[in-house]
This record gives sequence, structure tokens and C-alpha cells, in this order.
Amino acid sequence: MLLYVTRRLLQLVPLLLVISALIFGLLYAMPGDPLYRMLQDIPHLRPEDYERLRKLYGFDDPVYVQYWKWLWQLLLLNPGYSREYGQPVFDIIWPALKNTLILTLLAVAIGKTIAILLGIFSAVRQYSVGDYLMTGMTFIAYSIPAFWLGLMLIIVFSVKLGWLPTSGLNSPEVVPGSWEASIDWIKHLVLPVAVLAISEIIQVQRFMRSSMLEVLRQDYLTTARAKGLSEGMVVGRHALKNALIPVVTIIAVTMPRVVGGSTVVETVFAYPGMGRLLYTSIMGNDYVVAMTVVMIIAVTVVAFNLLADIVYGWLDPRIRYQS
Amino acid sequence: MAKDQNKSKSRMPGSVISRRQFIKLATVTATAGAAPWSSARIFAAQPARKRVVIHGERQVTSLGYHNRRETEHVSMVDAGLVGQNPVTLERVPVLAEELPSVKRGTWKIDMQKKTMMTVYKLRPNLRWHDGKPYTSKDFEFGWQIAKHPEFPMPDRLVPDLISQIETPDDRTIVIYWNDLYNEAYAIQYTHVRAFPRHLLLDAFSAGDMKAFANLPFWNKNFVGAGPYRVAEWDAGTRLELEAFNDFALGRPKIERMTYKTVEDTNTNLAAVLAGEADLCMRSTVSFDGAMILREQWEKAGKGKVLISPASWTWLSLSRDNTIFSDVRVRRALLHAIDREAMVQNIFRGEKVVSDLPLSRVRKSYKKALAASTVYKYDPERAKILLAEAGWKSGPDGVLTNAKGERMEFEFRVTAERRDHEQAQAIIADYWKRIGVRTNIKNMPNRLLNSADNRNRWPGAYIGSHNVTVEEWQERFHTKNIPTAENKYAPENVSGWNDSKKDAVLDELNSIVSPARSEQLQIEFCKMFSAALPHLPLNYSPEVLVVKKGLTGITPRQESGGQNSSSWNTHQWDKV
Repeated sequence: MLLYVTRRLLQLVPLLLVISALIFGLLYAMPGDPLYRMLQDIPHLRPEDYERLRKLYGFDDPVYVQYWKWLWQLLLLNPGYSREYGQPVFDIIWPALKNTLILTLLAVAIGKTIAILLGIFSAVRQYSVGDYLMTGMTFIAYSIPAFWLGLMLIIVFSVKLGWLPTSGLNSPEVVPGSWEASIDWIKHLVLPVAVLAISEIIQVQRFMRSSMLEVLRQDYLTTARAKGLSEGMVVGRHALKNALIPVVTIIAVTMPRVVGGSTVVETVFAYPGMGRLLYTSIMGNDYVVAMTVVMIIAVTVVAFNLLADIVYGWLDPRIRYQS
Repeated sequence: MAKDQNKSKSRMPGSVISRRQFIKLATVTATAGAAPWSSARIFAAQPARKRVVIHGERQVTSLGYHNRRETEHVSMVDAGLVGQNPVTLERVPVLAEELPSVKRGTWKIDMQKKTMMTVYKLRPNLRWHDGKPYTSKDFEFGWQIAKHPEFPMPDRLVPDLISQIETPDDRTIVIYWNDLYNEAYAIQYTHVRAFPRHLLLDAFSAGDMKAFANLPFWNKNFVGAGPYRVAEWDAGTRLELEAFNDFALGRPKIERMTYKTVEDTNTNLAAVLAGEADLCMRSTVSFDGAMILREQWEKAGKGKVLISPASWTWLSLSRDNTIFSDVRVRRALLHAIDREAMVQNIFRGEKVVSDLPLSRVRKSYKKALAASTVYKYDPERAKILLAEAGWKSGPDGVLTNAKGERMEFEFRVTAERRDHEQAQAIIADYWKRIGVRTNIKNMPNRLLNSADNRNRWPGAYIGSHNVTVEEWQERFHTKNIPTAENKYAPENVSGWNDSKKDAVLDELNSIVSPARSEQLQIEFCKMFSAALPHLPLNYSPEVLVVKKGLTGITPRQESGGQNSSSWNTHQWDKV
């Protein structure tokens, strides 16, 4: 196993290099002047000012030089400064990453747990009223865009009922460090977590249902029932672990979102996370920040794919990794 | 006994706490760790008697000279020698005691040598936010930063016009100019401003301008001389401000301000309806949102929706397309548009049709309008003008000329601008009625500003820009026509090339009396309406939403770098 993991880790190096070149190339090829946002409200700008700024920011270097400079800095774990904020890139990314992790981990934990439970319920009570209801609700939820759902929740819970804040991370009038501040912070999380959790539920619930249905028809479960085990033991102890295997793949695929955040949800709720940071940095042509964020997401994708492969081995004893 | 066994079962081996206790403890610790607490926040968010929450669409990136900066933010935390009232457009001394004047001998002009000297006297006992004295040396230092060739200051027009600064004492600033500049008597922070030498001199002297430009001073640790000091800066998403006791024009009445960046206009609308925002800055609530607020919120007495015609929307016909080179064609195309009906449709009763690139608050406006040609909706006149220019209806109804050219062209607007897209659809329909065919091809802002498209288009384009007279030179002077040589950077996008108009602009940009300036403005507008380099459409309304109880807010009447609604935050009050 150790040899297998080492080999996979070594394979990641060229893969990440290719990804970094692709990301750099795509962002570089994106239309638009990198200085545009900075200069858009300055009518006095002279052509010589424009040239001077391009040179100062290194935009007149050949593309490979710009790539190499960026990659070298990234390898040194010092990707430089954000051009929008004039701050070290990681100083901008870390707070956003922390906020996103809190938001998405909560949403994933709540959403996936509910989805797995609902999936099991739908499978065990196949073709029941509850199963139909669940299926119907899932399809309705699936067709609702996140930004619309977010706005509707804001209108109901913030504007009409006044229970929850519309946006942000905390209320300015609350004294930090108090319990009131914690409650205020949790209140700010409720709506964005709810929107993300609903999208997690609709993604996983259907997979869990079909996976569980397939497992429930297996002979070894008939044997378990014949031995006199209760249905709860059959489902919980013998069926669940095997039914989870395909679901793990789905979860592993969605995990990069935990790090990357959700641009739409974070923008609607003005939540200062990675998704919003990626959006604003792309729109602001703050390439160094955008590329670093995308690289972090890319690393997460490959890391979680590796992790999923390892988890398969643990969940399914039939899978063995050969060195 | 059984209970005890259960308890010991749930206890982790070798542990003194049960699993349940562990989970509880871990949850509490995680919550405490994750909650946004910090010592800085404790300082920043003390409950205040008077606090204002401002929602804005633009992120607070830089409060200094460089990077992308927003005047509304900078006005709150810093001040210049002079400020500008965005309603009357009057220049008012802020950190300076008074404006330099020729009469008092504090503004000397040598018209022959084209040089000047202005003397500014600082108000007594000025202080920086950190309590250190604010002196004339700090102003000179600010100019040195702006002039440094490696400092990424985008606009160096004014710093380059200054040849020397003398500081005979801590309160006197003597500025020597190497050219005539009509704003020399009113230097605002957007031109040149002071920076605290005691904080920045060492870093500046070290010579590494890249490191200097990236100092946390420029946003996180900003120290200015404005009405509010920065208590906390959250990577652009939130700015926490605290009233500055020693502000030159008196302590602000509101003790704390929170500026929150919320990009989504619908979320901002919801925040107003939910009572969370005291003030929504410009562009933060859309025009449609403003109409909803007028109906549901203003009528209920919860606040005011202020709409001011701040910027100018025009339709420009490509300077490179020969079918537009005949002025009769341009006039016909304007006559064919019922702008009153269009504006009524888009802006629901807000009367914002414009005929000139001049704000209605300017003294010269009425006379300029009277002297200019106004193009009323008259499709028949449009057809006659087109026929005179040699355009006749072809077999498919589209106009053609003797060369066989068809009156068919591409029509572009910025894809994100809803009001422009609406105007485009209406105008395309009006033009179709007189035999002009357009092919709509809209692009996002970043694509329009790419190297391939910046400041040029093959057919028609609807754009907006500041309407200020002070920017006419950049917008209309022949020397500012975008070309491949100047990388299409200058802003005379219409390509208006006329030496008489240039002479008017040059004189207007030199030192002239207010009366002469008014005459020149009228003359320019007359020329503009005759030549029609742009087809004037409307003034773009700017929306400001103010919650009941918040007083002193003055919506700006002209857009432009020197006009901001936050120019007088020290006078705002909350009752």
C-alpha cells in the first residue's frame, strides 16, 4: 500500500505541472487588459503611463517568463502579491479558505448525512409514499438554481421574518468575543449552509438510493435475513458499507468544492470565501491570486482522487493495491 | 450498575472523559476557534452610540495612490488640501486654510513663460490618524512618491505638472508649476496628497518600490488625515472605520462606520428591505431595485431613494466606418430615435434625456442648450437627411448608396449593462423603421476592453462616461484620438477632429475667468451639437439609498474622480 501511495504521489508531480501550465495558459489567454480595472476611471491616463505600468507589473515579459516567475514563486510557497490588494497572496487566501472550509464542511456534513439517510430510507421503503415524495422533492430541488434559492431564502427569512441576516459574516454592532457574537456568526451561516446543503442532498440522495437498492438484492443479505438478523442490522451493518462504495466516488468528486467554495452562493450571501475571491480576482484581472486559488483547487482534486482510491480498499476488501 | 457500565463503555480507553463529553468539548472548541473573533475585531466592533452600515458594490482594495482605488472609500479616510462639493461643484478648502487666489497673491501666473506658483497654507494643528503632526513636508513627500518612476501611480498628470515644492515652514506649501493648469488653485487628493513621512520615509528611501507599493500601509494599516480612521480592513470585503477626533473640519458626528462590500444588487435590495443597511452607495442597488424600493420602502416612510443624473450615456458611430463620415447621416440617425419615449420606458419617468455632454447643474447649461441644435424625434426629417446624403431604400428595405454600400452595421453594448441593452433594442427598432439594419453583437466589459476591441468598434456602440467639463480635453481633443500607435488608450473615441474645437478646449484648459469659461463651454456645446461626434442619449441615473434617520447625504450631480457622495462624512448624522 505504501509503495502504491508513493508511486501515485510521484505521478502527481508531472500532472500538477501540466495543470499549472494549463491554468496559466487559460488565464493568460482570457480576453481583457490586465490593467483595465485599475485604469477604468482615470481619463487623464496617457499612453506613456500605460506603458510604464505594464512594465512595472511585468506584463511586457514574454508569456513563458511570466509563467516561470509565477511557478518559481509558487514552488517557494511565496506566490507574490495580489495586484488588487497589494498584500501577500496567502494573506488574502487563508482567511477566505478558512471561511469557505467552515461553510462547505458544514454544508457537506449536514447535506451528505441527510442525503445518505434519505437514500437509505427511499431504498428500504421503495415505491412507498415517502419514496415518491422524496424523489419528487429531489427533482424539484435539482431544478432550482442556487442563486434563486438563496434569494428566496433571504426574502423569507431575512426580509419577511427578520430571523436571519441577509449577508456577510457578522453584524457590525455585535461585540466580538461574546456568546452573542457566536450566535450572530451561526445566524450568518444558516442560509448559505442551507443552500449548499440542499445541493449536496440532491446530488447524493439518488446515488445512495440506487446503490442501496442494488446491495439489498444481494444473496448475502438474504442469508443474513435467513439467519434471523433484524432488518436494521441487515441494512446498517451489512448493506450500508457496500452501498457506500459508489457514493464515496461521488463524495470524493465533490470534495474540491469544499476548498474551492461556491462562487454563486458566496456572492449572493456576500460571504468572504474562496469562490467569491476567485470570482473577484478573475474579474479584477488579479491573475496571481486567481492562479493560486485554482492551483489549490487542482491539488485538492488530485489529492481527493487518491484518497478515494485508498478508501475503496478499506471499504471493499476485494480491492487490493499491487505495487 | 448498568448505567455505570454504559458510562464506562462510552468512555474512550485511557481517557478521563466520556466520548459524549469529548464530542461536546470538541464542538465548543471548534466553534470558538472558527468564530471570527480576534483582538482587532474586539477593538473594531465595540458597540457605538451612532453607527452607520454602508453597502457598496466595489471592494476596498487600496486607499493610497495606486492599484484600483475608489474615491468614495478614500474620501472617508483621507483628505486633500481642497475638496469638492458634488452638488454645487464648488471647490472648498479642507486641510488648506483657503484656496490660493490671484487677488491675494497666492496664485501667480506667468502667461508668457507658461509657469505658475501657488501657495497653500495648512490649517493649524493638523494631525494624522496616529496623532503625529501633519506638515507641509508630508505633502512634499506625497508628491515625491507620486513622481517616482518605479511607483505604480497610474495618473501622473498633476505630479508631472509640478516642477518643485518648497516648504518654508510646517504649514506653508509653495508649489511651482511647469505649465498652466486651471485646477492649480484647488489641489484635491486625487491629484496629489500628503502621506505620513514618519511612517513611510524609511521604506521609500530603501528604494525597493515594489516592496513599498505592497506595504500594508496602503489599506490594512492606512493612516490618513480624513474624518475616519481605519480600525479594520478585511481583505476588501469590509472596512471598519472610527471617527477621528482631530479631523480638520471637526469631529464626525457618527462614531463608527462599517463599509460592507456586497456585489449582488438583489442582496443589497434585500438588505435595505430588511433594515440592515443605512446607506447603499452608487451602483449598489440597480435602477429596477430603486423603483421597487420607492414603491415598497420609501412610501412606507422608511427612507429615501435618491436618483441623480450623474454620468452621460452616448451612442458612438465608428470613426473608421465611412458610412458615418457624413454629418447628415449622424443627424438622421439621431432624429430617428424617440429619446423621450425610450428614456420614459427604461427609466420610468425619470426625465434624463440629454442633448449635450454637459451636466444640468452647470451654470452654462441653459445658455449652452439654447445655443445648440437639439435633435427632436422626427423620422421624416431623418429620411430626408439620409436621401440628401445619397441613401435610398433598397429592394429589401435597407438603405443603399451609389457605391452599393448598405446601411447595415454591427451594434455593440456592454453585455452586463441592462439599461444599455434595453436602449440598444429600442434604437435598433427605430432605425429599422428608416431602413437601417443593425447586427447586435454585445460583449462583456473585459472583452470590450481587450487589446482587440478597446476604444474602437466597427459600427455603433453605446457607452457612458463622466460628464464633467474638466474631462472634455481627454474625451474630445484631437490629440486624444485612439490609434494603434498610442495603443488605443486615449479617450476621444468618436475621433472628432476639428482644430477650432481644439482651440476652444485648449483655452478652456488654460487659465481663464469663470465668465470666459462659461462662454467657452457654450461655444463647445454649440460645436458639439453641430458636428455630433457622439449621438447624445441620456444622463445615467445614479441611485443612492438612505435609511430614515441618516442625514447629510448629498448625491453627486456629476460623476468623475473628484465627485464623491462621501465628501462630507463628518457632517453626516444619525437621529
